[in-house]
Amino acid sequence: MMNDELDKTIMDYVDGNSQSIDDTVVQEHAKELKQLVADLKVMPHEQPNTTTDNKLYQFIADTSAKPKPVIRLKPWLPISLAAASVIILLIVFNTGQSFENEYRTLSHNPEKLNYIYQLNTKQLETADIHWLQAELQNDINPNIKVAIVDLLAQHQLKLDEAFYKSLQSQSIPSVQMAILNVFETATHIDVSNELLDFTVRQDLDSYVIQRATYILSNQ
Amino acid sequence: MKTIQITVIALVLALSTYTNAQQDLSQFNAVSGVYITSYWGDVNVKGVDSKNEFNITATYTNTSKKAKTLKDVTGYLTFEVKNKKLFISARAPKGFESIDMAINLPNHLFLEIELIKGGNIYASNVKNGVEINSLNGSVKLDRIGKYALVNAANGEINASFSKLNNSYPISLVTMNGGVTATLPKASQRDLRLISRKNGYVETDFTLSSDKPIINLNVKDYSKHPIINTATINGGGSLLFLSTENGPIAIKKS
Repeated sequence: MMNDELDKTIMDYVDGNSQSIDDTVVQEHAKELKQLVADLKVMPHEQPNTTTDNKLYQFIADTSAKPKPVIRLKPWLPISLAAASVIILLIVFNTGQSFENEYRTLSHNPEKLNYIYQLNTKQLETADIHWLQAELQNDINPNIKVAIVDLLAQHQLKLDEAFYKSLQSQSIPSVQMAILNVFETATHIDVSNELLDFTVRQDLDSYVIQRATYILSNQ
Repeated sequence: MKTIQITVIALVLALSTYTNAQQDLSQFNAVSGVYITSYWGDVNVKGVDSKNEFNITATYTNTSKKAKTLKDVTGYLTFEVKNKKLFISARAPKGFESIDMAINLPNHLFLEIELIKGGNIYASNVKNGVEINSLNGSVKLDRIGKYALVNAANGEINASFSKLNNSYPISLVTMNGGVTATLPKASQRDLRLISRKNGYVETDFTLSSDKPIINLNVKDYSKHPIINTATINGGGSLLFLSTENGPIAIKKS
């Protein structure tokens, strides 16, 4: 019989579930347990290590002697945290800001021109091209218009009819000429009608009409 | 002796006539900029350090080419202030008449000139930026500060700068004529060069370019377009120089 089974038989007897213990092996085991309990009762109590005690007392003494640190917030800290949170939110929500929306916030010609020039380093989607084509009609400053045409010329395959039709609404010779230069290299779209419409205008500079006629003759 | 006396009197009278012809604009001292619109005629603007020296002299030339300095510009020029901007506008021409303007203005003011028909433009010592749109005639700018956006159709552009704002662009665009920009030697710029026809590029600066520049410092008119992106002194704000027909020069001041 295993010790576990011996213990269970003894516990049944102690709990009153069994009236007697006949098995001598069980009786012997019970005697051993009785002796073990008797030995435990006379064992001296374990005392804590005095070295550890001393360290503990010293720690308590040091802690009591030192002033308790007080957490004091600088008055500007909550404001700074709030401002930082707002900035982070703005950055997060502005991630999807379109070039067009950013451009709309600019009011001075120099910053508009800088912005258009910096788009040379950006990936322009079809929507951006459409916006720039429209801006060519809307913007007043000719230097900005020429910069837009210079930018769009690098995305010629994405240009649609709207770009070529915009020639007709331009009145400044240098802008007309910049657009005509893009006409000259247009291979993906037939622009001869736009050129024809343009060349009948009566208000064109002689240099511009000469250039338009040349491009038309080479279409 | 009599001849000398007569000459002196004539000079005094001439000077007096000229002085009287000046229209005082000092009542507009509080404006932030001057916006000039003219049709035919030269526009000559000189920036001055004094805030009180703000005036205009106008010379009218009729269709018979007879010129007179206007003692009273009423009927020829209008002055209007809107949003702290002074608008000086010439009347729409009756035939081939022209009005030449000579303006002294405080040099802290911004200057914008639109020349709808033709004439030469000269502006010097304007420190707070200029924007010019001209159809026929040359544009010469001297000691311009902050920035310049110049567009011309038929005429060369020659612009020299001092005390530029390095975050502002410069754009000099003409359809027909050469373009010259003279910059402080330490200027740092991103350069966009376009010369479609009959061009070469002349410069004192070392240009770092994306590709070889045709006829760089070679005075030979190219039959091919010269289109380059380059940097001056490591790059910076934009310097956009463009002509459909003519050379480009970038000089050190």
